[in-house]
Amino acid sequence: MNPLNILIVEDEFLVADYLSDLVRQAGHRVVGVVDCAEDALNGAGDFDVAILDIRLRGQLDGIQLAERLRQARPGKRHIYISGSSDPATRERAYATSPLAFLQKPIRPGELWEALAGAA
Amino acid sequence: MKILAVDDDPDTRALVVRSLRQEFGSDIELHEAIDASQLTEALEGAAPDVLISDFDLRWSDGFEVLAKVKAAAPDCCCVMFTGTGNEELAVRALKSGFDDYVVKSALQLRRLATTVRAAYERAERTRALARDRDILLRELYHRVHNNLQIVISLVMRTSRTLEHPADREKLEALCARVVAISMLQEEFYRSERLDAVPFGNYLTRLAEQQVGLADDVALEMRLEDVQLPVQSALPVALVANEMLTNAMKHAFASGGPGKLIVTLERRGPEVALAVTDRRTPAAASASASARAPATVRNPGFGMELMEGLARQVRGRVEHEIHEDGRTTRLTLPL
Repeated sequence: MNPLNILIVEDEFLVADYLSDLVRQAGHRVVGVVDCAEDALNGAGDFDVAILDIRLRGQLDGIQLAERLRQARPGKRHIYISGSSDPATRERAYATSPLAFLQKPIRPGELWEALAGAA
Repeated sequence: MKILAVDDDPDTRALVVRSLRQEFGSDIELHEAIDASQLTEALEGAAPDVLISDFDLRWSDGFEVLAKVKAAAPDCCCVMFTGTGNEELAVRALKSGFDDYVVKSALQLRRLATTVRAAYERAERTRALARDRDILLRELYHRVHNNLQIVISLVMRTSRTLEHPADREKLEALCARVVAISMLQEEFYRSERLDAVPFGNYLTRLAEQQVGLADDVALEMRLEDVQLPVQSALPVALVANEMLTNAMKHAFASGGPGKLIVTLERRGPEVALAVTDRRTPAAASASASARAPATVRNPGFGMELMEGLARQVRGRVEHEIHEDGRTTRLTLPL
């Protein structure tokens, strides 16, 4: 398996920390942790997969961020994590072709499986 | 507001239109239907907000019109306006889904317009309440899941500071239990019922998540359609989680090959939930050694948990040992 470079966009410090742990446990690298879409668009370095919380601080939510990332950086993949699973949000999310849409609390196996799909 | 008036008497329609214009002025968009094809046509465009229908139509009756309109516009509020009425018809109209009933007469004509206004405003308020409830419910679920995620993150961060693998394992098991609870919450949200949950769906998701990580373990689900009420769903979910964890940890500690069978069935007035592990001979001898220390290290917490939760739902837990594995079964009254 190729180790992936992972960008984490999550505004809860504890959750971001937990996600980083899970990513490293699966043998991948965390190349950045930011807490809003704006920082992800402006400051993020090179990554293969972005793990995006849907509700974020700032003007854009995770789905809008994914739309912009797809335009700005074609070929990059993303995984959503979200506390909500209402059908309207899911529909918007799936329209951006994510690797996965994971419901919080994250089941480690599901995250690893989604990452394995990109490796 | 879009109003659809269905009546095959042109004089009545003219009176209805005049009465509505007096009450609402140009705030309304009025459509009239005098036969089936005009009704179909009217329903093909934007959905009406209000229906005013006669009962006695040459080509149909008010109840058929109501059914057609509700099928196309479920939120439309409907008023029956009829000259052939009696008390019996009025009761039937209200029971069938009409919001109000007005008898045709010169005096009642003015009442028709105020009735339409009142019915429309009532329907608006109901819709607003439903919207608020949906928003509140979504927000609540979001927070529950988010907060459980934070709890798990905290526990796992604490786990990193522990020295002994056995201690870390206990905290991981704790997180798995929290995840099992949150998955149940999710099932309630999906089922659109707040008082019961289709338990087979939950078991499938829980089992797939637990077995998904193991190599060479086939999962077989034998599920009857069982709805568990909210009071017993949570304890049963936690028992199911223990059963699955035990089977994976003890029978398949070093993977398969083997099979995990999950059954959910009605037995008379009771429901039985069972998890059976069946190991192929090679796996059986491999896990025999792995199994003993795990059981000794934690002699009874999982078991205690299962027994206590089973008592809570007035049920019982039984264990059967087979040649190639074992079954754990929870039986509880439905």
